[in-house]
Parts: sequence; structure tokens; C-alpha cells
Amino acid sequence: MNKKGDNSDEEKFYVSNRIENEDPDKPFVVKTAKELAMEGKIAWDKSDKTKESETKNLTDEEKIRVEFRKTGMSEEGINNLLEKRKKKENPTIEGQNAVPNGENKEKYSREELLNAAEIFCKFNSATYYKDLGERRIAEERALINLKSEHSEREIDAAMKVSGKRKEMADIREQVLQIKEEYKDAMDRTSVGTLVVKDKYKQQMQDIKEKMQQIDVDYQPLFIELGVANLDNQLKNTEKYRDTKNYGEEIKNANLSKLSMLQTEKMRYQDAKVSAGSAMNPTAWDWIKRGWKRTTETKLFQGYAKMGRGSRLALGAAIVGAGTALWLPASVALGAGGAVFIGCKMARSIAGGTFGYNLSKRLFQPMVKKSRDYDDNIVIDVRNTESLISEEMDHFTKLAKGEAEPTDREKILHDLAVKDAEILDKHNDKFIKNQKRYVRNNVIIGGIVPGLLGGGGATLLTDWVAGPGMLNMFPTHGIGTGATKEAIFDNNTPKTGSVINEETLKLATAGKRGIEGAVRDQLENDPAKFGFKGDIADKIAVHEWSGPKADLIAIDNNYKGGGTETWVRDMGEPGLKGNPAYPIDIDANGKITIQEYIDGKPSGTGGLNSPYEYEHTSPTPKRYVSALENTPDEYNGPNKLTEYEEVVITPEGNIGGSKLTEYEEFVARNTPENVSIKNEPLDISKTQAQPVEKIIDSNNIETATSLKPNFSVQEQMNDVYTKNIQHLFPEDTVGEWSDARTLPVDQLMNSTQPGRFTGLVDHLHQLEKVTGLKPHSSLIDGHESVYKYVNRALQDAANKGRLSEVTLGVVER
Amino acid sequence: MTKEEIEKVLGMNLFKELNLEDIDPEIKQSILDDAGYVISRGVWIKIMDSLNEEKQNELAEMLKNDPENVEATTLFIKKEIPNYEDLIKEEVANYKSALLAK
Repeated sequence: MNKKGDNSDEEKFYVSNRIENEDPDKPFVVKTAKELAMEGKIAWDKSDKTKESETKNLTDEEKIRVEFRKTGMSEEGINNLLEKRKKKENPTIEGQNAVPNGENKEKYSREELLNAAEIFCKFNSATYYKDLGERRIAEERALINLKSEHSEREIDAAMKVSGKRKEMADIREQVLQIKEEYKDAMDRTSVGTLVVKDKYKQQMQDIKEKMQQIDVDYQPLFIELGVANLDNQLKNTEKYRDTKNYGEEIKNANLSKLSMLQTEKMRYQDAKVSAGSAMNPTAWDWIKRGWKRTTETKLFQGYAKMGRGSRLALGAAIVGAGTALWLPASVALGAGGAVFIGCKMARSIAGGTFGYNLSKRLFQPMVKKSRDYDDNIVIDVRNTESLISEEMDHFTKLAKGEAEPTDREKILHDLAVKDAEILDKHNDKFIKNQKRYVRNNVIIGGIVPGLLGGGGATLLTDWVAGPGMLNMFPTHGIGTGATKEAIFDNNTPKTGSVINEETLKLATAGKRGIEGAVRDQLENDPAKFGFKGDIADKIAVHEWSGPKADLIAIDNNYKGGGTETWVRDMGEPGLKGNPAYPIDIDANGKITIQEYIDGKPSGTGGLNSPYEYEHTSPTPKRYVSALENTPDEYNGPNKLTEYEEVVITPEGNIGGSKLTEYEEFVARNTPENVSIKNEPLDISKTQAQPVEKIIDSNNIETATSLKPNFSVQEQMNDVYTKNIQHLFPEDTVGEWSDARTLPVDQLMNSTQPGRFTGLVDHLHQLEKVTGLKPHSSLIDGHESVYKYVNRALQDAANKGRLSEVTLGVVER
Repeated sequence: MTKEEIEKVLGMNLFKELNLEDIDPEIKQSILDDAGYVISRGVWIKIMDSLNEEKQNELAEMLKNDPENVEATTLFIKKEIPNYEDLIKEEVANYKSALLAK
């Protein structure tokens, strides 16, 4: 029987695993030592009765400490639990925002809840939605998620922070209104100029004071937001207390809080800068330019390659001692003090969060994986398949959001079918190396984005097609019997005990995680596996089985570190061949997972089984950089300074960036990438604005980055491209991607430029012929290689000296 | 916060306080990137808030016409905002304390 904080006659309390008590209002289940001993969780020693008498003079808290220590719990853990116990018993100890006993999340308006959801990154109002219906669905999902995962205290704190931020954002309009009125009044001769000016000065002073007050009000709300969030997360980690993942879960809670807070702070700063900019646009414009330049640095990936001194230069000059004081840890890391970096520009050039997400989370990982895991097998497959035609056209349409809802399903389906064909066709190559199969599987996903084994497809279907779309497709990876036989050639066990077919069916994982199979079994016989409630209450059983299965999967090494083991669907459930994972209780009372194939123990386990693969959970990233997830809708500095550079194509406002990223994707994943590099771009798609802006706006290295300013002569265009090919004949796109954003002055002064030796020589030649020096300034930072080359070539062309800086043509 | 409190917060090791000392260096760097960005912007905002419109424009002119002159810009800020270092420390400490709050 569970007890909850009462002083029973035994006066012994133990905090047990929360899995048996999913009520969030009951932070832990308190049991007597005897009860725990009966459950096999601790060793029960009758001699404790003697020891018990020794504790009679201790306070309640001290007694509890003594007993907790017997369980082996750390002092820190004991302190945490006692603290929670105190909070629970005395909810006013934390002040007015303490968690009330009964949470009521229905008292908030829809708008308030969406504002809160936005803070916890569950919803982004700036996201591109195809229509109102899609938006509504996203909102509903966000609200459900918010209410289920976040406490009332968190929601309350988020609403207050959001409200205060909006007050700051509203200042901008107020300032503009005052300025408008001032201008009108000054234009009217009947009103005295001095009176008007005095009134204006007073209004502006009032605004400043209002901003200061908002600042003062915001800080404690901001702090409370973090505390509320961490508090709720720590409660949620209680279920992991007795698992090896507990420490990591605590860290994840802190990381999540940090990410949320930093994102929110940036939003608030955006609002404040927006207000300040309304008051003095000229001055603020120069400040924002400084920020913008530095964000470009990160975007172009030059940051990582810059020396520590360079990274610190701008920040140290301005922040001075503050930087050093803030960042001792970073210096200790050897990483340097990172300041002024970010990649918000990616969103503006992608045309909204939708485009940004698609780019950041789908295209770029694919490209990276393709690059990282490139090998002969994949190259062979690439060379065999012609994947740049119909499938890619379909995907482009889909990615641009141009596909009709009815078409999306078909497109995704067709891509999936193509995946299956490719896998079957090249299966023999992949089977040669089982361990590499999973990796290659992912790479294939990079070639045909519709492949359902890759996370990219999951995200795509979720964002573009809506949740649940994945289920309509064939399973991960291998889909035919021939594949199955090949995989099991050396692994199918020949002997072993037999298990009944009904159990096997329940325990069959088949295109999902092992945790799912475990959960089915728990729900099939909840009493056997420790469910204490009414087994007829299916909802209660289901709520119990989720976290229980989670913990069992962790304990049995099928889950952890953001990934879990998934199983390929090998055919029919049961004896016929699909891997099954029946659970049982061992002699120590621990629930264990066994592994069966064809009705017999497989003899393998964990990730080594050929039919298993590592599946990354949807939220694997422990810390999401605030610089990557801040919405753009706050008219912040980046927004204001970057919107001019958004590529507007004839097809729509998300074309520019995605077009170039798509081209990069194609360039990296097709055997014809060389020809792509040599072919002129379809300028009709970019003629809506000067190409110089396209170059400036590229957030990742692209095939188009080989192209100079299209407004200069074609001859220079040709020299630019051919020079780069000459310098990097083996991997033109890849090498140039690495080089183009480096600070040109530093590269030219480098004594050991390594693989960029030829480029450095070329840069010196450009300098010698044109006389142009690389730019470097406080605000603009260091001029990048590609900008300098572009500038110098234009100059050389204008002077008629282009031939002196032409390196030649590489015949391929 | 008092000066003593500010100094105390500044002396704290963020990662140690949050029990994040052994997380991946990449994650640490990402956190510092974000924090550095936020703080840098916060300092700039404070600097601009501390200047009247005339001085704001003067600073902007410097940045516009002589952007490479770091020394001059820094000197200008120090001259116009005598408590410049205190302002920075306070900005850092306020933000850091919010991140550390439990």
C-alpha cells in the first residue's frame, strides 16, 4: 500500500520509483521499508528495528535522511526529495506562484495559451502554413502538447513574460504615433513650435521611462519562467530516478531550460531594439548592421575556422571585461569567447520558419550525412540510379510547398516506392556489411528524400503532410522477403526453446521501437507486471504502460542517449519470422526483454542484431541553440536589416534559398555534379533581384556560390568559375565551400595555408593586379574570400586585366 | 543587485552550478554562443540607452565613417559612459543569475 507523507506507526518512509504513480500531483510514492523489501527494492533487515530506536530522538527530517541513506541514495538526491516534500507540504513557501494542488489550465484563453506555447517552442506563429486549416491543426497540437507537458505555473509564467514582452514591442507603434503627431503639429502654424517641441520631448521621455519600467518588471518574470520550467522538468525526471539515465535527464532538464530562456531573452531584446530603432532609426541602423555582419560569419561557417583572437575581437572591444568575466569557462574549454554569432539570417532568406526548418533540419543533415558517410557503395548506387529527374522534381515541388494536399500523399508515396526499389536493387551491396547498412540506409535517404528510414522523411511528412502520414508507407529500409533471407543468412538461430505464438505476436516489434512491443505486452497483462490499479480501466492501464515500457527499454539497453532500437518489419507477426521481444520477470523481480526470431531465441541482442537499427527520437538534441530557433516575427534587428535581402523568386517568397540549397543537394548527390557546376543557373528564377544579394544571402555553401555577381560581364563569370575549378579540381564544391567564407586577410597572411596554398597564391595575385586590399573593420568584420575574389575580379575586368588573374580551365 | 552580489555571480561557473560540467564541448560552446550573443546585444542596448540622441548619432557616425577604429569607438563609449564597466558587469550578472536560478 502506498503512503503519502503521513506519519504512520512505522515512521519509515522511502521514496520509490514514480512509475507506479503517474499523478503529477503526487511527486513520489512513500512506502515503508518493509513494503519496499517485499517488492525486492531494498534488503530488509530485522535488525533495523534496533537501529530504529536509535533514531527516536531525531527530527522527522533527520529520520528520513537516515532511512534514505540506507537505500544508497546520494545526499544530493535526499536533499532534492526533502525539498520537494517541503514544497508539497507547504506550497506557499515559494510565494504566489507556487504550484497549487489542483492545476487548472483551462482558465486561460486560447491566445494566452498559444503565447505560452510559443515560449516553450511548441508553436511558432510565424511558421508558414498552407492554409488556415493547417494552422489550426498546428495550434491544436501545440495546445495539447502544452497542457500535457507543462505545469500551470509554467504557463502562468510564460504568459506573464510574453505579456511584458509585447508591452515592449508595442512601444514601437507608440513612438511612431508620437512622431507622426509631432510632425503634424509642427506643420501647423497655429501651434507654437516650442510648445510642440516640449510636448514631444516629454512624450519621448515618458516612453523611455516606460521602457525602463518594463525592463524592471520583466526581469523577475523572466527568472520565474526559468524556475517554473526547471521545477516541472525535474518532477518529470523523477520516474528515471532509479535508472542509469537519471543523471542525464537532470542535465537535459537544465539544458532545455537554458535553451528556452536564451531564446526568450533574444525575443525580448528584439522587441526592445525594435522600440529603440523607432526612436532613433539612424543610429540603431548602424548597431544592427554590426549584428548582421557577425551573424553572417556564423552562417558562412567561417566562425569555426577563425582564430580565437578574431572571434573575440568585436566582442572584446565592446564588452571588454564583461566578456572575460562571463566566459571563463569557455576559455578553459579552449573554445574561446564566442560572441556575436548566430544564424537567424537563414530564416529570412528561406522565407519564413517553414522554409528555415525545411532547410535546417532536412536538407542540411542530408547533405552532411552524404558527405560524412560517402563511400564506394553509395557512389556506386548513385552512379547507377538516375535520381535527378522525376523524383527530385516532385520533391522540389513538395519542399516549396507547391504541391496540393492531394498531391502530397501521392508524391511521398512515389518517393517511398522508389526507395524500396533502390534498396532491393542494391541490397546485395549493403548486405555485405551489416553494420554499415544503417548508415547507408540513411545515405540513400539523402539521395531520395522520400526514404522513410531517414529522419528527414519523418520531419517532412510531419511538416508538409501532417502527422500520421508515415504510416501509409512501406516500412523502414528493406521491404522484401529476399532481403530478409539475406539478412538472416548467418544469424537465424537453429536451436532454442519455443514460445507460444500469441505471445510472439504481441511481442513483435515490426517497424517500430522495441518499447512499443514491450508496452503491448504490459497492457496485455498489467497485473503481472506491477500495475496496481483497476485493470478494467484501459485508460489508466495505458497511461501506466507508457513510462513503464520506457524504463524497461532503458534498463535493458534498448534505449538511451536520445536513440532507441527499432526493428525492421520482416514479415508476418508470430512464428513466421518477424523478430519478437517477449518480456518476463527474472528471479530478482526485474523485467527483462528477450529476443526471439522464428519462434526461438535469436542468440543476439542489442544493436548488433542485423534486423535492428538505431532510431533517433524526434527530440534528440539536448540543447537547441537560441540563435537557431528564435522566431522572426518580432521585427528584431536581423529582421529589419535582412529583409531586404530575401530572395523573391517568380514562384514565391521561399524560392531563393531553397532553390540554391536544393541545387547544392543535387550537386552533392548526383554523378553529374560536375556538369551542374558548369551549367549556368536558371537566371529566370532569380532575376527578381540583383544576384549580389543572392550571394550575400546564402546561408550555406551552394552550387550557386560558385557563381559571381551576375550583373558583371559573362567573361568574368567564366573566369570566376574556372579559377575555382582550377584551384580545387578534385572536390570543387566541397573545397570552395570550406574556403569561401574564411576571412581573406587572415588566410592571405597565413604561413601554413595547407590545402589552400593555391588559393592564397591566387589571392595575392588578385591583390597585386588590382591593388585592392582585403576589408576588415569593427562593424563589418573581416571580408570573406568569396567577396574579395568577386570584388577583385570585377575590378580586374573593369581594368581589362582579367587575363592576368585567369588560372585556366580544367577539363573534366 | 549590489556590487558584491554582482561580483559573486560573475565568479560562478555556469556549467558547474548547473551540473553541466561534463556535457559535450559542442553543447557548451553552443550555450556560450547564445549567451555571448545575448549579452553582447544587451550591452549594446544598455550603451544606446545610456546615450542621448545626439550622442547616439555621434557613435553611429563613428561606426559609419571609421569602422576600423576600434580604439576610438571604445574610447568614446568609455568617455560618455563613465560607469561603463559596471554597466557591463550588471548586464552579465543579471542574465547569468537568471540562467542559474533554481
